[in-house]
Amino acid sequence: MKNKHIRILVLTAFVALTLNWSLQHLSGISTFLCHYCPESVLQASVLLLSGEDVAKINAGNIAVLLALTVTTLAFGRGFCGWICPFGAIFEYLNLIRAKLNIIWNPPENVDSTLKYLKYIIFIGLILITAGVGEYIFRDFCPARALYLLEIPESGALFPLLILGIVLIGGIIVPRFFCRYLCPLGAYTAVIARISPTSVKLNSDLCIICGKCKKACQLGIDPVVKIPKTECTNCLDCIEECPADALEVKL
Amino acid sequence: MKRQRYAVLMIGIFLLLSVLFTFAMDYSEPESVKDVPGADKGLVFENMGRKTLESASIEYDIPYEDLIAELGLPDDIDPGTRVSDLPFEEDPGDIVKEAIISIKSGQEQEQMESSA
Repeated sequence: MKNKHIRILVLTAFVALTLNWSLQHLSGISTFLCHYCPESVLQASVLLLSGEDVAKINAGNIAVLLALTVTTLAFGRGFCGWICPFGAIFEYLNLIRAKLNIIWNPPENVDSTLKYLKYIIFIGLILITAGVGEYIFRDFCPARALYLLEIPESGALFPLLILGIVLIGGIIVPRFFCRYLCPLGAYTAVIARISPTSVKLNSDLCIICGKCKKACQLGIDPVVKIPKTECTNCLDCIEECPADALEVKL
Repeated sequence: MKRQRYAVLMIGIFLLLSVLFTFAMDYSEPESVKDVPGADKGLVFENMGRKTLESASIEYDIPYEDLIAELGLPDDIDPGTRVSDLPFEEDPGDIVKEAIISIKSGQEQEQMESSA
């Protein structure tokens, strides 16, 4: 079985787990996904620093954020490529993209500029959370809008609109949300910078066939550079390499 | 490192740490009894997240049905549901504490009225 298919299966397992939470929440017997979303605790930490009540922080959030931070420190951004239940949606969109034969990718200069958007969103989110004293991302979060599995109460259709935009974006550009908008992706990117694990190229073996670049959903060209901040360690490029020039290394 | 080994290690460690940290958080719930509202009523709230609905109603000596009604939960909810797993967006422990205090206050008022 191909690496990509194994990864989609693993991601689907995490989607199923998340959907199970959502269904339990709908039937009133479980907490919502946000209680286990590390993004929430990033905001909660800011709330705490700005003097808000410690009770606003959920233990589940802290546990997942700690686990995510340690895992990212050790293994790079593997969470984004193998676990994230919202990132999984973009994998499914990629399958649709392939079926529709969409091969367009944004020009490199546009792509490399837009990648900074997620850092701006991340910093903005932290600053605004501290200023407002509330979990503001919940009002915008497309993952929450998706996994809520119900139409939100009046006046809360904005997240659904954002969800629609990012899903359409995901058909046009692979991993659209993960590449340009995800604030949690920005957090893992910062942590991954100091991770010892990354995909490395053995240029002596490389035959510059370009298959790795074609396989990368994040628009990385491994022959030029494999930035730890962008690579989600999905490892599709390693599988595609006919010369075994790529390897994930500690 | 082989691809499969990387994936298994990374996912395994993430899941293991999530579970370990969740337990660690659960058992070290930061809470100072004296700071808790309701302490003046002799109520001591410790590790609320770990309690089940049933154990909370027994421990605080309040009817289970009253607790469920105060929390606005469905009647058929499993009494073994842990407080930390209740479907509230705010901290479920705090919401349950407030519900218990409210029920206790109601009980006190009823007692005062009946004795008067």
